Amino acid sequence: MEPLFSLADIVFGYKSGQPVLNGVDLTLTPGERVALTGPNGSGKTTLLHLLVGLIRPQSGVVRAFGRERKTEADFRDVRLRAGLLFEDSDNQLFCATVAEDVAFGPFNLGWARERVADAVTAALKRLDIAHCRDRSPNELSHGEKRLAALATILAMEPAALLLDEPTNGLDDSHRETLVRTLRETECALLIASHDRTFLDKLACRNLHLESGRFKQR
Amino acid sequence: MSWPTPTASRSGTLLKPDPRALILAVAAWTVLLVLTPAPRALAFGLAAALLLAKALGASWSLLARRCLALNGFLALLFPLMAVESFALSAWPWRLSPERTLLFAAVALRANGILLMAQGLVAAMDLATLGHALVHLRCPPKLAHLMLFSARYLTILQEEWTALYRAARLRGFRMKWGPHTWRTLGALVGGLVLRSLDRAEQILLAMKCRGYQGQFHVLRHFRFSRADIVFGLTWAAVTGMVLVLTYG
Amino acid sequence: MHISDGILSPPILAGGAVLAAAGVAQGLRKIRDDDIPKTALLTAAFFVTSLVHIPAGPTSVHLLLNGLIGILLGWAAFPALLIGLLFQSLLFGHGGLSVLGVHTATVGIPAVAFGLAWRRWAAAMPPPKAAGLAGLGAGLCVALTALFTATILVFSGSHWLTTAKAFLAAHAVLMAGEAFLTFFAVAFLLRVRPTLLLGEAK
Repeated sequence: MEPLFSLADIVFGYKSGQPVLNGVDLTLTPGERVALTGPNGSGKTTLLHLLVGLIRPQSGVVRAFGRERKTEADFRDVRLRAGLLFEDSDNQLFCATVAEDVAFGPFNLGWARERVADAVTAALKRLDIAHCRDRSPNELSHGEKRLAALATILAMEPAALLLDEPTNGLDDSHRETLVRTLRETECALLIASHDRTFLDKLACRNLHLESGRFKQR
Repeated sequence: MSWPTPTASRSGTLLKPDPRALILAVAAWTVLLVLTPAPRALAFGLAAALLLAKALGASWSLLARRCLALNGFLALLFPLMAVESFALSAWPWRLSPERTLLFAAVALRANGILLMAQGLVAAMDLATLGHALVHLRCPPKLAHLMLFSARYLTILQEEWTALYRAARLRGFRMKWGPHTWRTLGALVGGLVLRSLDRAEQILLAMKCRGYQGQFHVLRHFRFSRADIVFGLTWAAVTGMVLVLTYG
Repeated sequence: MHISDGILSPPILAGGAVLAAAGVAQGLRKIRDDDIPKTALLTAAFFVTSLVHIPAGPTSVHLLLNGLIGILLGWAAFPALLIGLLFQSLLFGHGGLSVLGVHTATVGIPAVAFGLAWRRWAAAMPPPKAAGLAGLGAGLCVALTALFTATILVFSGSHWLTTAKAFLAAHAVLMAGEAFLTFFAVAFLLRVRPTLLLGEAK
């Protein structure tokens, strides 16, 4: 099967000092579930951002959905097909109400209003937060915000979900909803997390980042 | 502090007009009162604004709180304006009757506009206000800037509180003097930095969901019978203000 | 300090509204699509700082910061100020709807004029000098706002003369404070993020 993403020999460093990623290879095939672990600052977030082109590597090749991606224009459709869950939900929920936030992506996909409205309803229902629909993200609990942020990308029907610490701030019932939703989905999952018990419930393959490379464990 | 706080809860009211109708009514009302000089017409307008605000579910205590700032300001202004002369030779200082009447008009007008605005527009949350403005053909960029900043008010308020608390823990106290201004300068600088960093992340999140400069609004409003009732009431009140002015 | 509804004469209110509308329109044109989050977050940040009250003798003053707003936002200061003033009016009952245009103009015109000039001049200056210029300009912006406001008060009727004088006196105090504050804020920003202010001059 053609992989959704493949990274070859990626090197990336911020302006000063050691590269954060130093020769990383990675493939993600459709429907696959991969856990991305590693200590703080090991480059998990950096790797997720590289996949959707929010930052560009100094060297190495990013292939996504069948072709090499280099420029901002190349990555535009990658971002629509691979949903990235940000670490801070407040930065992902920027609209006045949860419904408007979930509708933002589908509208940008060019869907008609009715289809957008249906997608919003479905995504919120799937994550058990239909009651938050017309509330401001300000009024949500941490857990509700996390699920609402996930709803904003699920509504776009992506082929892959790239999740940055998805269990941050979740209480038990929200965790259950999250695990159930991720088990049901056919999306490929790449999950950066410290949360072992959560990862054990979902992931089949583990990639451990340390000192800029994947280490076998 | 938790704001924005709407002045009314809409659940318990008989009349639920379309937010667009409320915005237009407040805008026209503001123009009307600005152009009305007659105190009796203004007094009627004030009473009508109060009743209308009440009918739409505004709470007394919130209305009173919002009027407090204005009337404190007016109380400060009254002697400054209405006393004929502050010259020492003019002691005891006397109120001028014409100016007192003028001032009464000012106070009635200001409260009339404020009550209508607080009863009708401030009664909606800022999200509704923003969405209604989009549908009223307000420039979309402006409406979305407003929605955006309303969304992050609370978060930035919290960041400010955190910065301020950190300064206080190191012994900072707000009092007049260069040290206060220097500390505030650093705090404001810190808040600006945090805002910009957050804005950068938000832009990335927007791009991840396909942002290319377009904003769409999911929510639409529909005019209903309540708008006819509201419109007629408002027109009657306006007519009465005009009659009292020119009649 | 805000002027409330009910005071200024209709022609002055209309004139203020026209100026503000022109400024806001130009500001919106200058805001690129990718600048929207930045502009909005700075709008919110300055709204938050405008709620800070500093004790001054028996009373207190609140921050205006229009010099700093102009430096950071340029033309976008007009829409940012309009939104901030609208929030003040709706959420706290400060200022009024009919004076939104006048306020946006009196606060915004000095802010934008100085902000644009600063961006041009400061690019060629060492940071301490650029911060010094920012401080001086910020004081000037407060002074100009107060002067504009006092002038239109007097033009709205001679009975507002004493009020106008009191308004000027109150702002003289704030002027010095904001000059200091802006100096330190700009010095701080230039130190931690040198590209931030100077790289933006277009």
